[in-house]
Amino acid sequence: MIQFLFDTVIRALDLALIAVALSGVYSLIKFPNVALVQYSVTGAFLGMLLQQAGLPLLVALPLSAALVGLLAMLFNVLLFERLLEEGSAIALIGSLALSMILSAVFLLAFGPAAYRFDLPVAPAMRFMGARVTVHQLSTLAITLVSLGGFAAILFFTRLGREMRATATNCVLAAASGIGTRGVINATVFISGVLAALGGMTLAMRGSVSIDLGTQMLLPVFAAAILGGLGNALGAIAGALVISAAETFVTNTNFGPLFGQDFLFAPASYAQTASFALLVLFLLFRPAGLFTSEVNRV
Amino acid sequence: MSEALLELNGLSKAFGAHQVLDGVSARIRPGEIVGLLGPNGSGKSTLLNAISGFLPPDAGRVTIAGTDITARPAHVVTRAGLARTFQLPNMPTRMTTREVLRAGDVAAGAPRHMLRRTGRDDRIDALLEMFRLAHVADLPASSLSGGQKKLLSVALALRGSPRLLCLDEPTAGVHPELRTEMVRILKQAAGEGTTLLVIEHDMLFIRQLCSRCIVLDRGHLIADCAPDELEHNGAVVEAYLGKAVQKGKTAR
Repeated sequence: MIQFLFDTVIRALDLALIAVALSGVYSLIKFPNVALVQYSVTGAFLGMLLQQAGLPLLVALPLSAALVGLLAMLFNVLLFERLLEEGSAIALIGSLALSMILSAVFLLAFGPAAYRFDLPVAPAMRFMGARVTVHQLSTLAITLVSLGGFAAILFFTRLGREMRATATNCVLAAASGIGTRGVINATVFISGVLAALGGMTLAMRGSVSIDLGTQMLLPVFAAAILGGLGNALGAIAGALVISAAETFVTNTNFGPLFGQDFLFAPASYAQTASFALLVLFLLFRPAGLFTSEVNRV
Repeated sequence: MSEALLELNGLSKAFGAHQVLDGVSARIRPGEIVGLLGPNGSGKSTLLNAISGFLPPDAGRVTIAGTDITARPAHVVTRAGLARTFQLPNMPTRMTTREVLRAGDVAAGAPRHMLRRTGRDDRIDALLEMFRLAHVADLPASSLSGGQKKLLSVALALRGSPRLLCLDEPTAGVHPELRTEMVRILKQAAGEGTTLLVIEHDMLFIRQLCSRCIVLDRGHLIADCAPDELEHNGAVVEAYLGKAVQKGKTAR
């Protein structure tokens, strides 16, 4: 049981960083940026290259995250601001195209092989009966610090207040003197940073290859939608639910149900769990787990 | 003539082939309360959008107290001292009435306690009282009725003591008794140094509140006179006021 909880939490952390980024940006510019999952792959590759260039990991990680943040801002100014003038559907298609282009660039640059960070091999430890690796613990630390930092920005800084005001009513925010374009670009930067960190923590515990982004797309979207698209911190709860479902599907012995000793679902069925949950939520609770909004016509 | 607070010079705006504003020029002096009138589709809201930075004009110049704010982004215009309300006031979905009023000071760099969910602020309480919103202070702002949202948006605009306050149909949907109250509140604001530009169809309200009216018709400025002179102005009567005077009279 402890192992199940732990696996769920670790998987949730991967999803949470990217899902929070997706939801945070959605709250401001009202379109889900598919390319965010590729930003996380970019972050992972970039972090690895920086490490290979001789930078210590503790420098390579934040530097890569910051560079991806800038890249996200650049794409926003050059591409998405223009596409959004034509509507959010156009911007969504544009982000899909950008995602494919980035994927093709990765294929050219890195080929189909999987890459790993250069990390010392650490034996697994036992914690309350569960197997835990050092890399899992560092993932936990990085994610908690990043999400905590994001929540602190959102609730305790002037930028955070302006982000919330812009998200709830962009026109009224502008009429109150908030520079909404700057606020949006700052949020896009933060989303790039979070996505890159998510990609790097994933790569630290396994490897990164060009199809990582595509693999993340469905569970990240499912987590963001469960949390209520646009509710950045709700995405964390969404990530927990999705990863619990995924962990349940892959870690449960279904053998007794079918009169066998052992029967485990293949790991690729994890995606099925997030897809099934996504469909159920879209059918019965399309606004997500938490619906607090009141809209009067 | 004393220095103008707001000066419009040849302001023009077209949507495709539709010329909505055509060379509008006007001056508003500090402390004045000016009504902006005109039939539906005459360009009143577009003029307000062009002044407040929500819609860049195609040609012309806007200055506030001598500072050129033509086509500057809305938040820059707001920081130059202009506050405005909207014809259809949408309120934030995740904030209470009180929070909306607190957030009105974001631009001015409000102290942190102003933006917290709980905690009292005398000025906000006074505004809530004044606009009869105290009983809905802690309800989601988006759940208010249309009239209450109007009141809240006027309270929000007044919150920062702006130099120029532009109101887009502030009394539409508001209870008649509160309209009289709003005249008093707005006159008080003017007495404290706020200049007002008010779009309104209610002629009684205009007569009670405004010292001067400018009238638009199909994008042209056709009159600039005292409210009482409107009914003697041939151009205005022809464009619009024939109906409106009768409406004003029956309202009295």
